[in-house]
Amino acid sequence: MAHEERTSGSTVLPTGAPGAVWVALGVGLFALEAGAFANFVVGFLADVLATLSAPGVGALAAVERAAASVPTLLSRETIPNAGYWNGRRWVDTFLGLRPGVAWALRVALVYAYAFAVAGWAVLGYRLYRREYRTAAWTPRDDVVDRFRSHGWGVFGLVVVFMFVVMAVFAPALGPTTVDKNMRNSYSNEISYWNAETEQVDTTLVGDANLASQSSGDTDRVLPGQYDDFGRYHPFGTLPTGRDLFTFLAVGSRISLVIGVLSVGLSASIATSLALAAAYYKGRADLGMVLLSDAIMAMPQLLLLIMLTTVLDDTWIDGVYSGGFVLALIFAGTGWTYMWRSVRGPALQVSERQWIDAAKSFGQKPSVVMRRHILPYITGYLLVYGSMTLGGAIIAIAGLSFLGLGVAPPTPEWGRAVNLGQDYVTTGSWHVSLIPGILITLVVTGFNALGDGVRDAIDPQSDSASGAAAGRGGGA
Amino acid sequence: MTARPEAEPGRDGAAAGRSDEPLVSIRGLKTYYTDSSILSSQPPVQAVDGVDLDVYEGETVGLVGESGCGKTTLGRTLLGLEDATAGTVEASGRDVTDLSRAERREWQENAGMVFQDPEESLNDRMTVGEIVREPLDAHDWPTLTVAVEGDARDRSVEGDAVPAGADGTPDLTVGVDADGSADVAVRDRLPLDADEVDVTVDADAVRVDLLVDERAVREGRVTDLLERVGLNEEHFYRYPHQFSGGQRQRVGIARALALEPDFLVLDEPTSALDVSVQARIINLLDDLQAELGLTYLFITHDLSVVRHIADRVAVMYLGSIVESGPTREVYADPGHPYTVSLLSAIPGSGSPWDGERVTLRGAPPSPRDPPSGCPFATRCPAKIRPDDWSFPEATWRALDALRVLFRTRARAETPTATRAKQLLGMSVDDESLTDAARDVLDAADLPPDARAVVDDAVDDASHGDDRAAAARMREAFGSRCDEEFPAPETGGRGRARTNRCLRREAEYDGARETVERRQHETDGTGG
Repeated sequence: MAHEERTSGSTVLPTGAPGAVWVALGVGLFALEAGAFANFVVGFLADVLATLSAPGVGALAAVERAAASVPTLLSRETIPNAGYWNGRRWVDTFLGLRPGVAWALRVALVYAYAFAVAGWAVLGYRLYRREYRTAAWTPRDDVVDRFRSHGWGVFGLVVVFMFVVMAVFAPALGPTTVDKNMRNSYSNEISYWNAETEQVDTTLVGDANLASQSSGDTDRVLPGQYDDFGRYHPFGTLPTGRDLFTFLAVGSRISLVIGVLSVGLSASIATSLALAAAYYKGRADLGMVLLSDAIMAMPQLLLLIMLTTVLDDTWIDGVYSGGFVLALIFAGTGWTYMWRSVRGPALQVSERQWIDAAKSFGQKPSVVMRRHILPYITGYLLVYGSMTLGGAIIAIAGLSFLGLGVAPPTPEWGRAVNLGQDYVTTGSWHVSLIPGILITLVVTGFNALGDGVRDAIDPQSDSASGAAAGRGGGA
Repeated sequence: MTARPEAEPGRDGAAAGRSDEPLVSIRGLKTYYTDSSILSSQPPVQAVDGVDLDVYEGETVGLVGESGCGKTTLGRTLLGLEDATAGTVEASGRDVTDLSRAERREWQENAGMVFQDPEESLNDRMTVGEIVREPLDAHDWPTLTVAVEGDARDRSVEGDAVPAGADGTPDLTVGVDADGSADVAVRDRLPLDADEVDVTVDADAVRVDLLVDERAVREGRVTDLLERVGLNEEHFYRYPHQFSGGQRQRVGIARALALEPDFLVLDEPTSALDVSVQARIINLLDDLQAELGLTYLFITHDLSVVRHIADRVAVMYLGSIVESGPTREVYADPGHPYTVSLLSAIPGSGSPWDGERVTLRGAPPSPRDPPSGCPFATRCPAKIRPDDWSFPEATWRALDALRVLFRTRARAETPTATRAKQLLGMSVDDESLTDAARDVLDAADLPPDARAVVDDAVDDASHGDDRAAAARMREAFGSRCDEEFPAPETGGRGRARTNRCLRREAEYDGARETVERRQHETDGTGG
């Protein structure tokens, strides 16, 4: 039956072979970014090999160069925004456009591309659901459908998606790069139009930064302004004269990586312990309660401060500018809360009769846990995971604000807030305000996503939209 | 309720002379639940407390009793879902309560269980196909067994098969001709064709290679099972949500049958279903038994279902089997007063009891603290009375009620305030106590010595010592029933009737007559 439907044309894609079309679309989308992907994979491998000091680094370097030469649509090389005014026109920018316009075009393209990929994935899911899946209906369909009609949850998803895109495409999004603008600002030169002498001069980026600081009422480069060197700053500059947008885009990466790593680790610890506690109950459960209570009783902030001091200058502190240690500490102290949240549902599910049924035919404990308990708690994991992720982003930012956590040269949102706090009352208000708004927005997004997932999984808890529907009916 | 018109108790000759070796033999089985908490030390719940029962191949044994009597725990213990505290369950020569994990899995392959509530027993995140296939995956089914016929050589088995054991039909039978060519026959119930296996036979080895995907064989088996229980192939990819209660129970039965077990524990398989669906499921179980030669332990509280499906019946009360025997005989002439009361409760003309319904007083005693002697003595309508007193029936009932009250009070948690009063020797009497005492004293003119006993006991109880009150009453008014709980006549062996009531002894009137007589007596006195 399904086969006949497939050949008679699809309802999702008006074609005879929707699967093939979908795959072709996917290949097309991938080709646009194949170079960036190859770059990433090769670069990642090279990093791993370098840290392990394994042979083959040289060979990889050649591959890396080859990968770099693959053209990609969404790179700063394809759509450059760094250029200078030579008195008549903009030089070195994309199609001679103003740097701001070129940058905006690139950002728009990046987001258009990301949403196209997301749409492609959604299309694939719907195609699979309607055409290729043998089961006409599964319980998950209802969850997905409920989530789609959950406005607040969809808003959260969009915010989170845009944040993830920002992190993934951080190098292409910034008007300049961390390396050029911050790390090695005195090794890079730029050309600019010197208005006094009316000619094109060159200067070091570091010197240009010194002249573009935002540190008061008069010395400032506000969001959306050009500095004296023809450089466009979408979010203005930092008090050091560096570009705030580049700083934030790269900073989103570290927030996301630490957040995902710590939440992933604590979720896996919490899940395995909750499954074991629910299956074996009794002493095993009691032991875990005691352990988690003991960990919860430790003051997390003091522990963090102590560990960052103790681990200072060790190799592990060097991994990802200290972000790795942070993720480990967050995971080590944070799993207890998540374990507490999923233990209850897991215990509840373990009392259901299908567990007995599985035991009655001699199913292995590990399979019983994975197949008969885990599916019922993944929803809770998603909810608590997304909310904890928001919490982790706040925590990382808070630590940087206090001068702890991620080591200084690496951009981090909390440090941007910290850097700007002296100028909040001055004309350079944007330095603290913009990262602050971004943190709030992203954390709200994660919480909204969690709310949406929870309501989608458990329709009974969906009191908000139920009440709204009731009001709508009355009016 | 039964779909078949001939609702005669028991089925004619169904069990007679099939096999003399019991398939499952339960001896002195006890399953106690202990609270594993460190802080409180309550006595264990004695859910199953010394059960002896034989189940023979191909028969259906109905296990009946009210909720909480331990019948489900008994079934779960047989399957290894609960650990037995004492006793043995012997099946094919080994004690299944004391198996290593691997051996237990082997036993669980041979015994299945159908659960009470099909809403609860199916994981609703899995499709019906996955649910039925799960036992097959768990046991890596099929483990092909091979037997070689035609010559007497000893051959080793290689490839995807193992040598056939002594019992059971081998999955593949390889006939070897004189010229050495092999001829393969596949067991009927296996969804596999002879040309889907490649068998090579040489002088000292048989090599079997499965040419089809193992998953395909399993899916074939699942389809077979679904058809066998009255579902069809297109249900494979549906979820339990999409089925009615009766269909879900069919899925549960298919799952229990997946590994081709000989023995099924049916734990109230119909009690969660509509009456119309119940009959269909019962008939399905009946048909499956006839087709597949299954042995059932049918746990239920519904006596009319038991009469329809069971060859033999075992009546359970508070962890013990109080009466057992062929269904027809037990229904025609119940020997235990508890059976009498159960049968009298069957509604309508189906009841073999023509008198008034026998209502039992009070609730069953707590399985944490079962009474000494016969567990049924506290509620028994045919309890043996001591020779020392001769009271009218109504007085005895009032005395029994007072004893139950003392026992219940002795078991209850004492509130702190009451305990403080107790320590100070103050009176802690409450209304229920004084009411019950007044009932006894009003019921009849007790002789002065009996009255003194009751007064003393009430006095003990009003000072908080209910245990002493109960002991005092028991000493004065107790009978053999409070001391003795006779073992089954045959030790639970065989199919013969057993009755654990003292009234089986020749010196006493039978339970049934006694119940009838006492009913008349109380009616006569207006009780």
